[in-house]
Amino acid sequence: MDEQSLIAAAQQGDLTAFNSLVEQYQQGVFNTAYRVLLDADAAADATQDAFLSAYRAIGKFRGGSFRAWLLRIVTNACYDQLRAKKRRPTASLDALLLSPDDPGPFVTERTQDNPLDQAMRVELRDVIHAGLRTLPPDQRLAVVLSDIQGFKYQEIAAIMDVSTGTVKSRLSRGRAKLRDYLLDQKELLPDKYRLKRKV
Amino acid sequence: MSVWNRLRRSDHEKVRQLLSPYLDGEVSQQEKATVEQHLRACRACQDELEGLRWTIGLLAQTSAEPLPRSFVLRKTDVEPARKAPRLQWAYPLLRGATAVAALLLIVTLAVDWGAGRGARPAGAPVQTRSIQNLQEEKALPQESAPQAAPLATGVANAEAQETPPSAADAQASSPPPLKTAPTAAATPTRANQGRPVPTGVAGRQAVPPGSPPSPTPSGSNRHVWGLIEAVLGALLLLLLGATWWTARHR
Ligand SMILES: [Zn+2]
Repeated sequence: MDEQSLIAAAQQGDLTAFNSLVEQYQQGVFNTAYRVLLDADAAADATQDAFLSAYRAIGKFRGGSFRAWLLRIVTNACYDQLRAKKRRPTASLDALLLSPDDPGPFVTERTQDNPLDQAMRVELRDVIHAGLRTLPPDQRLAVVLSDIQGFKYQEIAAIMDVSTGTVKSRLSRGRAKLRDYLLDQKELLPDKYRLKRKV
Repeated sequence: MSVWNRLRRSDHEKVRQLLSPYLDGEVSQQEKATVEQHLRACRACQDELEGLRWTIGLLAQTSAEPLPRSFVLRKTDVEPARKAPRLQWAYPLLRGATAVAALLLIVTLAVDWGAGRGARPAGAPVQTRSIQNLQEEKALPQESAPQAAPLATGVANAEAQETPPSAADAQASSPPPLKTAPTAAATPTRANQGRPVPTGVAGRQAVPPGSPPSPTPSGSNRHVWGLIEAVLGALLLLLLGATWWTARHR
C-alpha cells in the first residue's frame, strides 16, 4: 500500500495501516524529539504521545506532507515535555547532560564503523548536544528541523506555527549561537571536525 | 569616518543578518547581490559565513539515534483513549456520590445514636472496655455462647454511640465492622429497651443467660435503622472502591 492508501485506511480506524506509518516515520520523529529534549526518556515519551495523538487526530489530516504533519504533533509533545520538566526542577535538562566519562546509552550505534570513527561520532554528537542545550527551545527546534531534518523555511513555519520571518530569525540566531559554542569548545571536537581557517 | 565607511558599516550589520538565510537560498535576488558584493570586501563576514557553513555541516553529520523501542501502537494503547473522557467526568461524579453516601451514613448513625441515648440515663459513661470484654468473651468456652451475641452487638453499638463519624469511617474502610453493624443497631437496644443501663458489661449482666431478649413494639423499627445503616455502609464501600479505581485509571 502506498502512503495515501495507508492514511485513508488509518482514517477509517485501521490500526495496522496506521502502524505501517509509525514504522516508516518513528525514526525521524524520535530523532527530532531527542535533539529538542536532549533526553532519551523524555524523547521516547514525546514520541509515544505524538503517535497516540496522531492516531486520534488523523481524521483531521487534510493532505500535504504527512511527515511535516507528524513533526508538528511531536513538536507540541516536546513543548509539553519541556513544560513538565519545568514543573519538576529536580530533573532539569542540565542534570541529564552526559558527563565526559559516561558516553551515554548510544555507544553501540553504527557498529559497522571502525572503532575510531565510531568514537569520533560519539564525541561529535556529545559536543553538538551540549551546544544545542545552550539554545532556547524555539531556536533549538528551528535548527533541528532545518539542519538535521532538512525542512524548508515554509515547512518549519507550518510545523512551529509561526511566520517564515520568525523562522528566519530563530534559525539565524540559533545557528550563530551554536557556532560560537562549537568554536569555544573546539578542543573537545575530534580534529577532523574542527574548523580550518584560511590563514 | 568617511561616508563610504559608514555605508559599509551599516551594510555589514545588514549582511550579517542575511548570512544564514543566504546559505539556505532564502534571500531575494537583490539581497543576494548585496551579500555577495559585501563578502568580497569584508573579511569578518567571510569568517562568519564560513563558521555558519561549518556548523551546519557538523549538524548534518550527526547520525540517527537508535530507537529505544518500537512506537507501534497496540490495541490497548488505543482503546483507553475512548474510555478516558468518560472516566474524566465519572471521577468527580463518583467523588460527590461517595461524599453524599458518607454524609448520609453519618447522619443516620447520629440520629440512631440520638434515639439510643434517649433510652439511657444522662451522663452514663460509655463503656470503652467493651472490645476487650468481647475478646475475653469470645475466648470463653461454649457455655457462655448465648451471651456472646448480645454482647458483640453491644460493643458495636457502644462504638457507634461514642463517635458516630469515626464509626462511619471504620465501616467505610474495613468490611468486618460493617457486617456486625445491622445486628449492632438492631439488637442491643432491643435487649435494653426499658432497661436503665445499655452499656456492654452491664447489659450483659442484665440479660440472664439462655433467656432471649423480649421483643418490643419498636423492635422492627430498630431493625429498619440497622438495615439502612448496613445498606449505606455497603454503598459507601462500593463507591469508595469505584472512585479509587476511576482515579487510578483516569
Ligand atoms: Zn561584513
